[in-house]
Amino acid sequence: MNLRRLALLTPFILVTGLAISSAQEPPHPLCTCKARKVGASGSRVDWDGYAKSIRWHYSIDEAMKIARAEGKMVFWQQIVGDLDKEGC
Amino acid sequence: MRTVTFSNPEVVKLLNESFVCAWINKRPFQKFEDGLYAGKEAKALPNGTAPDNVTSVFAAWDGTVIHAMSGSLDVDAFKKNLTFARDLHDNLYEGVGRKTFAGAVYRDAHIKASESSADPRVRTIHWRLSKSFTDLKDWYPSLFEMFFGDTCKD
Repeated sequence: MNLRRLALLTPFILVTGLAISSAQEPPHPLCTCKARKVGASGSRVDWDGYAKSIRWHYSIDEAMKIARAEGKMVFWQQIVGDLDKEGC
Repeated sequence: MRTVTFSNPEVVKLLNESFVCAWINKRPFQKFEDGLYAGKEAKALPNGTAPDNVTSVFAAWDGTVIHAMSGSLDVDAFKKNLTFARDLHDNLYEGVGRKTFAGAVYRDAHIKASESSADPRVRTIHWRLSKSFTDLKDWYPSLFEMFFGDTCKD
């Protein structure tokens, strides 16, 4: 079962990887979380609960580069969950 | 943590002043259903959250992990851990370079923190960290965990 899931996911990973390599501010390649929800009108709106005052990066390598340039440390938050369902 | 700790003005100020922030969902395919945490109450932290679904990692610019703490941290706990990491970093680094004897300073700081903590979980984490420097890459969730880690068993 697990091998079948992996086989199904491999093309998705490759396509996602190609897509993010050409974007300046890529979505997280493996994240199904969404910091946005669909509003009553059907348009996508920001999730009010999200901490907007902190600038979050998806790429740890990018964060390390910026940290070196700005003389800062890196804070990396590992979470488990689906933000839509407000998991862990 | 997302809605309370990271919305606290003091936490925001501390993070924005001294850190570049990044996050990852280490179980992007995990589905949450009612009863997922059934039987896990005994492992819950004093603040009522699970201890192993969130990890806060504080690292130097070169990826050296200075400090890390598992579990959902409230404002006070987060600030305490952030301050520990920042102060230890300042004792280990000078500019972009690591100081002489940084390894010994790092080890001693974590051992001291381990011995002074009343929380067994915190004590264990500091003790494990004290063994040697680790790199952020070592903390990156494996693809196996990301794809197949669909339970919170570990």
